[in-house]
Amino acid sequence: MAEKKITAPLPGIVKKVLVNAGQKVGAKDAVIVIEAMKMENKIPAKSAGTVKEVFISEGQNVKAGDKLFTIDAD
Amino acid sequence: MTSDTVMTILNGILAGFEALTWQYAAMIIIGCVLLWLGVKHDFEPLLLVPIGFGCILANLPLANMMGDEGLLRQFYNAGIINEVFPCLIFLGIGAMTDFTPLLANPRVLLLGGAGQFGIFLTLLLALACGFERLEAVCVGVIGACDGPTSIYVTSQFAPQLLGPISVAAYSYMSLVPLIQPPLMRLCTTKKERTMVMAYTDQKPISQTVRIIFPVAVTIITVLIAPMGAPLMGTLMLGNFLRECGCVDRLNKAAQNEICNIVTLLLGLSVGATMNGEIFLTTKTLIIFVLGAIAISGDTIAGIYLAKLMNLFSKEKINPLIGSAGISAFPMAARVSHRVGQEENEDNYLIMHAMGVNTGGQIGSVLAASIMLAVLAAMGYIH
Repeated sequence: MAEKKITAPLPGIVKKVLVNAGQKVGAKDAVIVIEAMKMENKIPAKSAGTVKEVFISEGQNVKAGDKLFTIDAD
Repeated sequence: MTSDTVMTILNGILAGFEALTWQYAAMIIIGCVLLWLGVKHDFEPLLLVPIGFGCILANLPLANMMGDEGLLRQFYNAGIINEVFPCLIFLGIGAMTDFTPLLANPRVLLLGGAGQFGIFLTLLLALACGFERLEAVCVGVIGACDGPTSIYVTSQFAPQLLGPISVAAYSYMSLVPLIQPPLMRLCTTKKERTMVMAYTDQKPISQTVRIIFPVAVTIITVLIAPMGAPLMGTLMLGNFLRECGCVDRLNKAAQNEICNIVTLLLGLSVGATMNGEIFLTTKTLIIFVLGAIAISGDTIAGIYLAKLMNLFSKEKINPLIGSAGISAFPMAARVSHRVGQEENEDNYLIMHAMGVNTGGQIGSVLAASIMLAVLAAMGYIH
């Protein structure tokens, strides 16, 4: 199992955290929603696996490049 | 009761129906179509609902809503003819606009300039179609894709065309998501569209910069184009209220109460200018065609300027954000973002496109002001 780190592709506010640590996700599943300029951007898991850790919480401001979550890829 | 009295009463009740000419009827139907588009299809309902209702009210015969003493005439005189409403709308837009994406990447301001290309293209076409000089200017301003600016310029120089021009400007703003994507795909390659634009190397913008920006823009642009002072001044005042951080109540009032009230009154008054005798002419049809050309021209010019900038710059721009240079805000930026995401789901263009889009807002006010300055210098207006 390889651990993958997903960072914020754009700055904004974390609108929703859709999964908890330990949850199984598919590659296309949205894990986090970042709102930028009133537009919601779904951030997908990118690889199928288990969410290991989520570093941010709802309502938080993120900069581009901030660590969002890690995934143990299947 | 004698039969004469009955006839008199009946005549009184039916007088409105008798006075209903085909122009009135057609305009009432157009008003209903605008309401339907707003309510049922969610096309800019905040604008189309008051415009549609205003159009219906103004075209009911004998009610005289647009007569000298009519209610809608009062609204029109209070805010359109003296340009107060468009300026108050700009106050609200300024307070709603976050210029940070533009400040983070100031060179995209150039794309906001390219987004005004349609104004000048349309101006020439309108002249070729036989519009008078000042009318042609007002038709050209549709190319700014900016309702308040169009109303501002038209109410000064061709008030007789206010109905068709403002309805065209607002219709095209709501059609931006339909008009732009095909043109964007046509003018770019797959490789260009999938180009990812990162955010990681952007510096954060300090509050000091954000406070100085509206003041500096006001001083510089008004020195260049003094006739645009009312629009640029209110736009930047609104933005200053937002950024200075100590007048939160005024900031909120500009964004909400003032903007909402003025949108209602502006929409009603614009709808009321939709007079059948003027609106139902080929001129209106030409204005709508020219409007479509204007917006297409803006879109294409923006995309090609972005490509041109890429030839000279190390840091590449995804040409899709070039189309956001029209000031239809925030629709144009969203369109760039959406088309970019369809091509490559790792591409989040929204903030870059917003920079261009806010640049386009400044650009459209500046372009209109410069055009007025040129006309004044040539002695056509005072």
